Amino acid sequence: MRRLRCTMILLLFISLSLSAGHLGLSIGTFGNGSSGLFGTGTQVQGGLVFGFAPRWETELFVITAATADPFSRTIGGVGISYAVVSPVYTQKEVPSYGNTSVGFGFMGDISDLSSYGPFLRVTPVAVGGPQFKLRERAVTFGTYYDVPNKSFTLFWNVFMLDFFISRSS
Amino acid sequence: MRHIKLAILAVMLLFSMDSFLAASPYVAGYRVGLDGYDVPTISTDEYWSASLFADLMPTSRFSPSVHVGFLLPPYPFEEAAYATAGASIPLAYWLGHPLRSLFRRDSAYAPVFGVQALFDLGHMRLGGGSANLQPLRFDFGDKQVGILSIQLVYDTVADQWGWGLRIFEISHYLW
Repeated sequence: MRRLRCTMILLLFISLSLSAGHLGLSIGTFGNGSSGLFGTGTQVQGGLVFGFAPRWETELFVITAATADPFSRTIGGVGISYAVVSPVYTQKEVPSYGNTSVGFGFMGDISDLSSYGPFLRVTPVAVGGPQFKLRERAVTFGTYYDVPNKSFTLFWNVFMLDFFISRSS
Repeated sequence: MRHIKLAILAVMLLFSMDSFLAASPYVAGYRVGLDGYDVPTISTDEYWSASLFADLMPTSRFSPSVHVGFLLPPYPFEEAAYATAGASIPLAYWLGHPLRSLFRRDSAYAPVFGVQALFDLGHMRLGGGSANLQPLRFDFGDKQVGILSIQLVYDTVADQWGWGLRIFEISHYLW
């Protein structure tokens, strides 16, 4: 358990150390299969997005229950994404307004670590970017492996907004 | 010569129609949202809201709006679906709001208050009614985006009050 906490802290530290690029605030929805992290109800996700290379960005996020029992469970995580269509963080050219990204990461229950594990995710539609101040990510979907419970869960972010608030240059 | 005159007349007529259309305000469009409820006879699963809306006074920033649509569960055969009808009115319209620098497009802070009736399509009965407050809503002209709006819901079947959240809502004008 101690090793796991150290790993999560290390991942968070690495993510923060990569924040030399663009910085954005993200907010959106989170949903999962009925046997998943939250069971029934709705959840909200918020976090920080850092671009550290033209096609790469890392994300710190927190997901919490919104209804029917607000804040009853909180999940924290860190992820890294790769922009497939074109560079997102570039100063030399105008990036594509639309993009697609794939990524992976690690998330877990913050309070008691009763559930944690790696995840893979795909964002088929991302519109906007740092040069446009705002990005809308739609229909992100992925799968999460719950290590303690040895189970897979599908999850999705139907809609996410990234507000880019600073640039590196 | 006569044909040329007719052609020029037709083109001028088309241009005049186009300028008429361009000057017209948006009137109606579609709206989608994601809801969650803590109400006795409504499932706690997430619900999808989809509706058509129309402004009653399109030239006014404070135009009342009416809408009809559906509230759909993610698993259609497990939970009840609802038909919805309601009305809403903006409470403010603030162009110089503090968050405007976050958006690339011109925006206005436009919170909304609304009411809505829910008709249970599974049992063909009135399922409830709700009063909704959208304190975080922004108007971008042809599009409006709201997040985390609060709903006070009266469950007519259980005769109890409950509450809900609309996690996000997007309204897009088409006409």
